[in-house]
Amino acid sequence: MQYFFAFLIGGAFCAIGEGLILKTKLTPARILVGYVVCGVLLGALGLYAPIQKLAGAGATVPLTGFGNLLAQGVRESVNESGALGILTGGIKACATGLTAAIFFGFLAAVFFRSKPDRKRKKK
Amino acid sequence: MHKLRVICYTISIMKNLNCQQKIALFSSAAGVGVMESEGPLGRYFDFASTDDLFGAKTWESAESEMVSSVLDCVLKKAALSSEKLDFVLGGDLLNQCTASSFGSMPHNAPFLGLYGACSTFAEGLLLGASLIESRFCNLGAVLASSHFSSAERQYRFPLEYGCQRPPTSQRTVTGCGAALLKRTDSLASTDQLLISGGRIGVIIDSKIKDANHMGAVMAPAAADTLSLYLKESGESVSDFDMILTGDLGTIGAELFCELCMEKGIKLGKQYLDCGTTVFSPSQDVHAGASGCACSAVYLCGYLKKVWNQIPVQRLLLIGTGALLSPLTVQQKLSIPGIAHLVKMERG
Repeated sequence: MQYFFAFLIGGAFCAIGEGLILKTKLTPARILVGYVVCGVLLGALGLYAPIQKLAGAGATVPLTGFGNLLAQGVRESVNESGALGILTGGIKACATGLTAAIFFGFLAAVFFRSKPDRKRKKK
Repeated sequence: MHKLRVICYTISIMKNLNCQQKIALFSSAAGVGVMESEGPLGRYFDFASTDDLFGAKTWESAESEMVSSVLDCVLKKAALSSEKLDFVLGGDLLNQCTASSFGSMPHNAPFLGLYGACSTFAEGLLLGASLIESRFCNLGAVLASSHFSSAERQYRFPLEYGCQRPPTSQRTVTGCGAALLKRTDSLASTDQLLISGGRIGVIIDSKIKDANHMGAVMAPAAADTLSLYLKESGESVSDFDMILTGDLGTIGAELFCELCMEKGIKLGKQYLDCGTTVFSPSQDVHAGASGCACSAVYLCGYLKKVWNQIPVQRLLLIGTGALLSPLTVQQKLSIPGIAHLVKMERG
């Protein structure tokens, strides 16, 4: 059942993003940053946890999940080390994801070449 | 005194260029990338790359290689060596126009770099014609190039970023078009493609800040240049068998027609935007093609090749450019447009 909600919720996040690209003048970079910020806000207000419980990866994979992770990390760090936690918490929580992204991005750049996107002609 | 003042004023606001002796575009060549070779005009181009790299290691070097190869090709087609070139006028979209300069370097010909964004080819034709008309030079080359992958890195994001492009965006043509120009009196045959005049465009502030809406940025400049040209020359659009704009795309072309209507110019079947011809709808390029190469490969690849088969006597090429930089967009400045008009005819 979680698979169903993972795809439903994750898909909904993607659909909203697609709608923003098609219908608004927002650049993709702004949309991505907007998602992170929304995730931080929803996470800070405690509204993201129930979505995450319901949808699993459908909530953690989209960028809103990353924003939520930042918010949770700050909350935990502030509980542990006080005001300093505002600065340390976000990076601590997303360290795994960030390092993986940098590392695998580097591997991809070493082993693969970029190609211009195009629809292959049907033979 | 009053009459003299009126005459002086009239002469000072006459800005159309008129060639006393027409300039022949006697040889041309066009090289393109993969997607362009698979498009509707694919078979008219002289050569195409199989991977957009043209044997180079980076996209920028690929564009330089493409420029160099097209220059080689056009000289070979005219059976001329590069020593015969009095000038090469070339431009592209990259920082400091390195594609045209690095690409022209192996040919050892006098080189002048140009920048007019996607209007560069029209700019080059006007300047090349002026150099020959003035008798400073006898024979020269005009080229313009663009490359999808290097333009993406230049203006938006590198390909590796995997960016999504909105429906109003256009795809930069990977291609280079080069044309050789000389005076007509040294030619034996008729039925040539001749440059007979034109108009240098004024920069128009489109007031648009959206870098994904290029057609709307350039359409006002195109309408402005065309209407001023026609007003001064006393001609009308029906005097021309073909009116081409460089790369307004489907959305920009519609807007251009509307703006012309507002100025009392009714464009009919003779109007065509090069940006709508390079790719087919099935290639999913959203609003069409763009880039310096758009008008260059259309003219140097397709039009020159079919020139003896089409019933066109007089045509106008309006090269359109958006004079933005990545920084001006980030600094929230509006994007200026420019359009240069080249009058060409059969003779």
